[in-house]
Amino acid sequence: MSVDDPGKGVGRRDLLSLAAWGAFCASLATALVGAFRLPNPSVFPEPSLKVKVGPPGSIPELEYRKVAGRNLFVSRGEEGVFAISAVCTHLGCVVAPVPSGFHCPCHGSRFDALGRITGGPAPRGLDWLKVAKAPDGELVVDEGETVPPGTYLKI
Amino acid sequence: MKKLLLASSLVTLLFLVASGLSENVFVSWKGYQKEYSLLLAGRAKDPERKREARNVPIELHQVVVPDLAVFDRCVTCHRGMDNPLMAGAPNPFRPHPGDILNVHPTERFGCTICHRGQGAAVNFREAKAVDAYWDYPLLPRELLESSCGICHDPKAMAKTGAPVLAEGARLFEEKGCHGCHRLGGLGGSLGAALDSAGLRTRHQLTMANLPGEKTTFRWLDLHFKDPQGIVAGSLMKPDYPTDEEARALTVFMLSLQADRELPDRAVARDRHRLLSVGHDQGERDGRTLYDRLCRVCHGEGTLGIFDKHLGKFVPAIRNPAFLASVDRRFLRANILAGRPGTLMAGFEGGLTGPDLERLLDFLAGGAALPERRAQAAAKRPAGDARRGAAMFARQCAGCHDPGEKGQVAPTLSSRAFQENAGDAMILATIAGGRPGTAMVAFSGPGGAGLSDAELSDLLAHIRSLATRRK
Amino acid sequence: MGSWSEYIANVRALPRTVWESLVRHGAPVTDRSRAEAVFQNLFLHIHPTRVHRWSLRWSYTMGLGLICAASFVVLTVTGVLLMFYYKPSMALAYQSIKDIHYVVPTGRFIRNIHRWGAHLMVIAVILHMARVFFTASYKKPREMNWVFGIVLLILTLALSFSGYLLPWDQLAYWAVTIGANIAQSPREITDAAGITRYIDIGGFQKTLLLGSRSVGEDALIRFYVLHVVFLPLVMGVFMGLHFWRIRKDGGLSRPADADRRLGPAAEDVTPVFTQAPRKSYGLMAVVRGTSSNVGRGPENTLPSWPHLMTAEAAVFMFTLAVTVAISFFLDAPLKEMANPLVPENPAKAPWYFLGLQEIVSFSAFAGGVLLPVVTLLGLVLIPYLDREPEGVGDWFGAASRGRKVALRSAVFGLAAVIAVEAFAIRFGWLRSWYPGIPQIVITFFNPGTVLTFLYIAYSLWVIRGENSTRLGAIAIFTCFLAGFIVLTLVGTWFRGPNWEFFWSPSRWPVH
Repeated sequence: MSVDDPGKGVGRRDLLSLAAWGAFCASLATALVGAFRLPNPSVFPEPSLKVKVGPPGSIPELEYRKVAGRNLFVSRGEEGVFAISAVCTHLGCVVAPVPSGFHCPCHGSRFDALGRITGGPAPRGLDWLKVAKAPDGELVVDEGETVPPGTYLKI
Repeated sequence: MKKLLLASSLVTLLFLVASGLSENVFVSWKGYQKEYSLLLAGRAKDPERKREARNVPIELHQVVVPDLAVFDRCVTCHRGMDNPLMAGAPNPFRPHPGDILNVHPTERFGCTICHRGQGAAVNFREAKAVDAYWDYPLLPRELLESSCGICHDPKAMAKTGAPVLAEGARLFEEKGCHGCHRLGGLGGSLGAALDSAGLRTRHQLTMANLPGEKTTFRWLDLHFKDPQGIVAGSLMKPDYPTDEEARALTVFMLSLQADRELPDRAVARDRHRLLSVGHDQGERDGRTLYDRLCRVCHGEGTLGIFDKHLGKFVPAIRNPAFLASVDRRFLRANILAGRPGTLMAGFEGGLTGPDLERLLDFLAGGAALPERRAQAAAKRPAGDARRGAAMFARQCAGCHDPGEKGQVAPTLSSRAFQENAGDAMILATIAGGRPGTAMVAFSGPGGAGLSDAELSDLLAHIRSLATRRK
Repeated sequence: MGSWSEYIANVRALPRTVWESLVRHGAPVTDRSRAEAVFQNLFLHIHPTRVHRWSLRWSYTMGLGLICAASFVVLTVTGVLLMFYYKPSMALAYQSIKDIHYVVPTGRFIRNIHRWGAHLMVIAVILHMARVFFTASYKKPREMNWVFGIVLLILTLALSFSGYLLPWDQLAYWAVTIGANIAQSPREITDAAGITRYIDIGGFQKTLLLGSRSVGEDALIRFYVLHVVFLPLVMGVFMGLHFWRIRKDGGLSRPADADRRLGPAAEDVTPVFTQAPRKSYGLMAVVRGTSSNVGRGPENTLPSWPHLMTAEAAVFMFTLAVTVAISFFLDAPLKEMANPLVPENPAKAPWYFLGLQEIVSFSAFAGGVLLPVVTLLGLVLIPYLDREPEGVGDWFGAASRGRKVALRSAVFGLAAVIAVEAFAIRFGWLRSWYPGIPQIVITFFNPGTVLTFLYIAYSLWVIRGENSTRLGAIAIFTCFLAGFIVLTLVGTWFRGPNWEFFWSPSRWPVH
């Protein structure tokens, strides 16, 4: 008899072994699924994405005002009030206003005054954000909700 | 071994699956959200909105206000909070009543700043937190006005939203609570200072005698109605308030949160003034001060009274005979330092200088009260303290026993007495007594007939007590 | 063209070739491939390729060592998961635990497993130590591994205690406040000697622990670093040492006549060698001395794969099953947020320190430093003071004397601790009779030191009377175990507010 003999009985895969190791693997797999659910939070620890930007009268006409503490611009045109996100659609840098519109410092994307793309690697124009009127008359911008460019809130 | 492996693996699997189910399927907030989405779909006008309502994702919601450290998940179940369509719906789907959310929007203040309770919880029992490890359980609706007082001056809110709170603040002053409790820089030191009474947790209060739910607000309510029933041996005078009064006072107590740190943007400007000058903004005359600080024990102050509750004689501090024997310096020292051996606790730090002078003016009642009374002109022969001691033991110790606390009359050995009572005043008091108190006249007509020499002996003994004092 | 077909064949064979480069041996069906399954695998190669049948007997090991290791694995995995959400700062720690409890997916369950698993590990470590002691497995050549085991016991307690503060609730805050003041207790001695100004060991220890005068931000970050980095690393090193020494010391201990008592090998065991080796092989040939396997034939061994693997998997799953079952039904405690102004009453340390807290209630130094040091020192010295070679590998030794001494010692140990405790509870201690007595007297004369003295005296008496150091060791170990259990029970259930005696927590005055 040598050590390489698959001797009788050795390697016998009886039903109990199969069941035991099967259950072992199954429960570890279940535990793994549970563990992988953990890093995915069910609710985000950030404050509300809605921000009050003041009464309609305080919104400047034909120029942009950066909202304090937020990456967005508000302005008032002939059609009404609108808000443009200052977050570049390329990789998330914050764009700076320039006379011709906006310019992203990171990779050189360029946007015109209404946020339309005019150059650089950004795939699309800047996002327009939803503007609504709160019950107390102030305007509220919702950073979490984009609207099609050219959507104005009539005053 | 294989059997153990099989059995253990199956048990593990069972509990893992059970835990997954209990966390993801059998949770109350998911049920509420489904119910809400059905309700909303039922109430929606056009089909577009109906479809929208039915497809609302079932997920956790929370209000985060970083500068208030608020993480409130109440809105996970209270979905209809800002939706007028849900008017008249059963809770938790009703819109928030009133228009308070217009001025205090949820996203800027959260829920728990007014309602208390455990905002982190996602089931009602733990959000209510009466029976949980949480310091501030959900306030019953009738006590909610207390939270207005965290940022606003209660008295300024009588007409604007918090009448009960304003009433509580008024009652607190009217009932003379300041006499024992310091609040906003005014008040005595016999009871606890109340500047942050609303922040106390149930572990800081004696809950043993409180029947039912052990919450601070139930404690306050019942304590106002029956102080000794809740805290055995409490000195607090039972005032027998009505239910409404007790509630108003409870609301006011819960509003007192001076130690709470709040961002400037959240605090109404009048709170800063409130914390520095008190609830009446520093405008008080002598009469008002007397009513708030002294009256609760001394009454009108013209007659000495035996207070049954305290078990003590309370001196008549507005009695002309008394005022004739004392000077401003003596009164001022007694008010500020208190009288050891009596329940008169010092008001040092609880009364501003100008307030004190106004109070003294009021006590004098228009009569001239000299800053210092002249010492008796006639030089008396020095008394014999030994003979005085024998006499003291016979005549005085019954009330003034210097060795024991809790006697009827002031401790004569105290520093406050020895330094502020002049010889003339002591002699005059022994000889003439304190009308209206248990202190009777010991010489002269109708007195016990002590001679001048005997008076001197007594005085010598009384002065010798000062040296014996440790 | 040949290259092309070879390329296609390579692509086709990809799964097989990748697998073969990962696992070099065939299916573990022969003795050789089974051995390879073990030593060709980084994670398994600490195991022997064959394991003695005696080591696989439940009645011998009860799998306690494996339970400890399994708990450590479970705790490491759940601990790392919890670190995704836990924020070690005074302002955020409590809130982050609440988040884990309420909204983190699987968070509540994983925190429960972590908490209850930690308690389970402490119990398992103590029981494992008792098993090793009572089977005399600490004897030559395993003395140092016993010492490593003591180090692992200390590390386990330190890990558990450092984790106690992290939730930043009332329970944590006050337990650690007490712990830190126990660390400061050497001042009892230095104060009495009047040298605290020059040598302040207690103050140094407390400062080292808290980084500040009281439990605060610095203490929290120190406990966090200890709990998640420093102690687990040290623990990992010592666990490695512990396991490695088991192999170097010739596997688990077993009686010299184990082979005879086990009887003939089972039918499915393939004989490996026809005769016992006289020397070891390979590298061992150039090393002086004999290998631990010399003179021992492998005939009564079984291949580790699958026998030992199945056993280990079974114990691991058993540990996991117990932990998840408890965690499903019971939530880990979380009291109100820590509040330095509102002390807990009673403020209790974790349960395994409550026996010491019982003695701390007389003298912080005696309970917090003196007795633990004496106990640990005694444990470390056991294998060096008891060097009788008999009885290794049998519960209480094969002779009936050991069992009798263990029983007698248990009775004596219980009686002594109950008598001393009952006396102290009923009549008080020195301070209640002589209020002015200096603390230094109580430091050295209190129920704890009295018990220690009684136990040591008893074991010396056993050594003389029975003429056996092993029986003396059994006596003192059993006594200390009894004392530990009784004091822990008293501290856990019979002490209420102000550390006063109550027959049950339900009689505590409501505060």
